[in-house]
Amino acid sequence: MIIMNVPTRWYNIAVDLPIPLPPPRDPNDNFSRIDLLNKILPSTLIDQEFTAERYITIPEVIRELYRKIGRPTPLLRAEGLERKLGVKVKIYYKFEGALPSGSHKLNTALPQVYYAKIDHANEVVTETSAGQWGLAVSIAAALLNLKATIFMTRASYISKSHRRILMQVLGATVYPSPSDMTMFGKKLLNQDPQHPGSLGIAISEAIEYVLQDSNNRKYLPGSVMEFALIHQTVIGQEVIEQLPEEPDIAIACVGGGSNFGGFTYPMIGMKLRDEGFKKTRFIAVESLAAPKLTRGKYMYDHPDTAGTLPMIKMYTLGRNYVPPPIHAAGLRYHGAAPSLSILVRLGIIEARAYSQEEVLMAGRLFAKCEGIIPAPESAHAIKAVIDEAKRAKPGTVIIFNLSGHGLLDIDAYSKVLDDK
Amino acid sequence: MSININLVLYLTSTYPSVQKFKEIVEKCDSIVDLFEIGVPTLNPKYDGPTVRMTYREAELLGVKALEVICDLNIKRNFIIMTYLEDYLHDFEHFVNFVKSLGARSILLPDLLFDFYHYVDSYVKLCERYGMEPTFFISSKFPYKIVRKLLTYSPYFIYLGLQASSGIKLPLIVERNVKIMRELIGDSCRLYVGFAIRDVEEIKILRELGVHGVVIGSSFIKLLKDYGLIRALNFLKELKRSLSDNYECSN
Repeated sequence: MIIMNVPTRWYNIAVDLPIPLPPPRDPNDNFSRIDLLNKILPSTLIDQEFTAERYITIPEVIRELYRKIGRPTPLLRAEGLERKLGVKVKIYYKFEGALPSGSHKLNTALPQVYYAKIDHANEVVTETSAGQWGLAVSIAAALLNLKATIFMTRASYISKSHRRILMQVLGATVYPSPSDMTMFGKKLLNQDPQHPGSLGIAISEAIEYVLQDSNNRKYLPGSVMEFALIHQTVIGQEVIEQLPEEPDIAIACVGGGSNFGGFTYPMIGMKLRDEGFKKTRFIAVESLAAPKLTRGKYMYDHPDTAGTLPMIKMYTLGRNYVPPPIHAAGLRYHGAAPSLSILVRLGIIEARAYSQEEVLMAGRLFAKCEGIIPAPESAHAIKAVIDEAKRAKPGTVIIFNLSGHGLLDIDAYSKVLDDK
Repeated sequence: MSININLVLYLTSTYPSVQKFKEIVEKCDSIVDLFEIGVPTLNPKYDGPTVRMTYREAELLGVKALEVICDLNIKRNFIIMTYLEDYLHDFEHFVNFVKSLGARSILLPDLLFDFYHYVDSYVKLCERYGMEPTFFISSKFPYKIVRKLLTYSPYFIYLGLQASSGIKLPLIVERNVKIMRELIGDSCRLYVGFAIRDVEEIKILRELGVHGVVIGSSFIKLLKDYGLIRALNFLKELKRSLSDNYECSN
């Protein structure tokens, strides 16, 4: 048995990109949203967002917590799926669903809560859609003894009650978003009492709630911000250690980009530095319900719906875009992280979008072959893996990130059974 | 080894008025080593609220605002700062005009971020009109590109210490400057700016081996809130802190 160590550092791809990351921008008015970051984010996270370092040392306390939650996660071979497809390709997957939160989100929740605590916050606040990020923050807050408040998109608050209950079990307070806890939420509820919410709206509410008491509360973003992607690079660094051979194709799903970035950036970084992965193609898979990479515009836009945060240059469907309620709620987001957007724009990452139906069928097939029920988000990657495997030459090596399990996504899979 | 550190003053042309701008330039000419003169724009991309305010309140806009420089007898070097997006449609004409004013360079903060493909053209135009290129970079800038910029023999590379001018975030500036200083080495001058507010910060930057510090928003705030004399005294104090014997006399 190989006993691997937890990575000692996170990787920052910004310093290896072929072109520079455009800086954040303020709209042309009297108020600086960039300055507002001082009030809402833990200070170390702001520093990491703008760091010139290629590698950031992981605090020992976080490495200990990574060990405690079960890092390194396993890299497995999907032999059952290979046999079922009848293809002579090798399919590997990194299983982030093995973490206690059931998804990769804990990799950044732990350092984010830790840095909030260093800043003497007593409450962390965030948004969640599928509940994976909210659950991860709830676990991290419980482990580090801070109060957690979660704004959960109303559609998921109703359909994903299991994760909501688990967050509450861990001590978190969970509000359906839009909520009456904020002015922005009240305004939307007045317009539509049945508003399904969106990740962009929940972000806006979480920020407004933090600003009500910014001395004690800190906002923690689950994705899009570069530091969230940086923390997730523990996944890709472990993959490089675990992989027996360089893949021809690496695949992961995209909501805001933290899963995809964390999984692929250490490999892409090596490719950009001519240190390996020369032949590897990287494929980002998104939902047709929020197809920013395949149908969005590359432009400056706010990451939140209310426009409280600074604008960042990214592929976006527009901050007011409200994706239809889908089971892969973690992918219901209008934009993608700036570094991911640049890499897609340069053609270093390919992007594609799938519909909910075909994705859930792929997820079910994987479950029957491998015994792991994938999260609907992760099933997007599986769908792409199957498509690639079917047309690949014999000997092709495919790797994907199984970012979460789907044991709490009963609603999604019951729909598959109903439709059959 | 002692490094000669330049004090650079950023001013927006014709802010707060044509006459006042001329007076400020004349009074500062004996204090600073270089002027960075900004062109008032309706589309300030990376500027913080203070500089954006100067664009709004400047008496003239765009090229009109620069024409007043013809009437000035600036003894120090000066460069023009503007966004390429505003002049991309006829950039050569703009370069020619700026050269006629006597500027040593044109700094385009959006060149590398939004128009990276245009770098070679920019450098060639600078050479054609007898000016030196300057480049603005951010702290999280690709190492390879920093090294590539050195091959253009720029007048200097300007590192924005913060995400936006005049906005102070809790960044470990020393670490970022050190990394960029190592990348650049001795082959080019490194100037730094954004939210530099006092002598203590300048002392630290001096220790890190930067070649120039740019003061903008803090000067403009003093000018607006307390008047020119207070702003000039601030500038003189900063200038003293850059001299080699500052530690001894304080």
